[in-house]
Amino acid sequence: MRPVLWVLATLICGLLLGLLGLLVGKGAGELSLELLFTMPVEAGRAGGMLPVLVSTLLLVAGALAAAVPVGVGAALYLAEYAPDGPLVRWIRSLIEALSGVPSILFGLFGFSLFVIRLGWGWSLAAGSLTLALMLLPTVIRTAEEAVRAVPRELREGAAALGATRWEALRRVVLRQAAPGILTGAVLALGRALGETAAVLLTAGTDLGMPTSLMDPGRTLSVHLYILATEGLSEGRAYAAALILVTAVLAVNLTANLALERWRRP
Amino acid sequence: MKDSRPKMETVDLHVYYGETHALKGVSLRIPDRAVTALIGPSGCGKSTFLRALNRMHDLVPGARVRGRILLDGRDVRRLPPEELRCRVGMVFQRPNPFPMSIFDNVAFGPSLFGIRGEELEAIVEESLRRAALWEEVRGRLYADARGLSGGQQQRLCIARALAMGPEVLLMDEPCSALDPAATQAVEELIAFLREEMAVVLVTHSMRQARQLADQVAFFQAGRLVEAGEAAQVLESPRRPETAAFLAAE
Repeated sequence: MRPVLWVLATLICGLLLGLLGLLVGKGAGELSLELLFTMPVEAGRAGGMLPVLVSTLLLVAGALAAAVPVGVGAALYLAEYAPDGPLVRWIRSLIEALSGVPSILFGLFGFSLFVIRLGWGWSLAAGSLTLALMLLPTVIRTAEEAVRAVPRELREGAAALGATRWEALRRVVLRQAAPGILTGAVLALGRALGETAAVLLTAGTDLGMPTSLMDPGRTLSVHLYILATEGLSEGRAYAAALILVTAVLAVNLTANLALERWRRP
Repeated sequence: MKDSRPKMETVDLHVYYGETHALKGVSLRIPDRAVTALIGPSGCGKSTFLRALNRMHDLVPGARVRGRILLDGRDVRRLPPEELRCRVGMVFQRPNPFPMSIFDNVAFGPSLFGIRGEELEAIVEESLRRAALWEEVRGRLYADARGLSGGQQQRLCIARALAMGPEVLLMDEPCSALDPAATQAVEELIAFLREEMAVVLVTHSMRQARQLADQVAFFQAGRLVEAGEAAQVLESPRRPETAAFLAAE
């Protein structure tokens, strides 16, 4: 059994390294300050990616700003207030099911609601809210687990000092659960950065510099998709992929380091 | 101890966890400025009794309490539970510092009631002094409380309870997770607190009961078997169950 596991482990590591190697080999040559900080030329065939990076940041920040508070609120309700009955079990399995829905369906929903029905047009706001809906199951599930994992002794300790249930939740339980909630937010952030289909349908593909959340915008992953499928520039596509992967890895590593320090008093 | 008016009193107190009848008709008077030790085998209901006194059972789904609990002669169910728990403090079996600084742990209770600034700082310092912890932590009040040793954490939890200025302090085996040196520090503290308030102490240690208690109550199978002056219950118990338990210890 041991040699088999060893081979499998090597295979997986090799796959990951190969993928990174491919991205670095084909994309690193294109990386430059100019790429990061100037406007694109000829639909991205030349020039930089500044508006793409700005759109990505705004879109992801907007999605998290919407998904995290709502998701944590829902998690608190489910973990602390919801009566244990068929209705709540039903809600919980619906949330689970939601995380299995293909992202293109979220895109279609966001498109018909925000872009068409509400008349926002392709916009970062429509993209952010669509992404937020998609991220909610992840945020809710991780936050609920984190809240449930808070030891009963801490809640009782707060109650024994005259705290109401809400005060104990807000001041002690949430603080203790914060690292777990943050882990969920980081998972969500990774998914948001990589999501393409839902964003393509709701935030559009406009390469201009967004000046407000109601402007359309093109994110890194959408840019990568368009560069690659329209044969604009293979090198640029790999450069975009490299930036995307680096961003996801950087977010995960930073969050892990922060969590390490947080958990160890 | 001889005071005719008890600080707290229970009359025919029953506690149920779902179908389980955990406490069966306990009537006990808790004198002011004295230590009442609750002893008995594991699962005898002494912790259940203790937790009824500050209505901790309210937090447990499925727990029901029947009977009367009086604080200064008034039924505790007439008080909002938050107010009751300010007047009747509690220290738990295992130290449970909150995930925040030493200062914020002690300030937690008073700050809930809007106390801020210098007044809060004074309360924190005084509480830490009374819990005999001030000298050890004065230089690192803003460090994470979870970095303290177990014994320090338990004294911090006592300081946290004292910051509310409680009239009664409930302690559920406060030394069971501590080493001998830390146990001694907490026991000295209890002997000191006894001068100012009613202390109700659940303990497994007969040595501790002998050393600290003014009154001893022996529980078995959810019933109060015998209660009285410490020396009488521990040295010449009236009931055979008590004698058997003490002999086995």
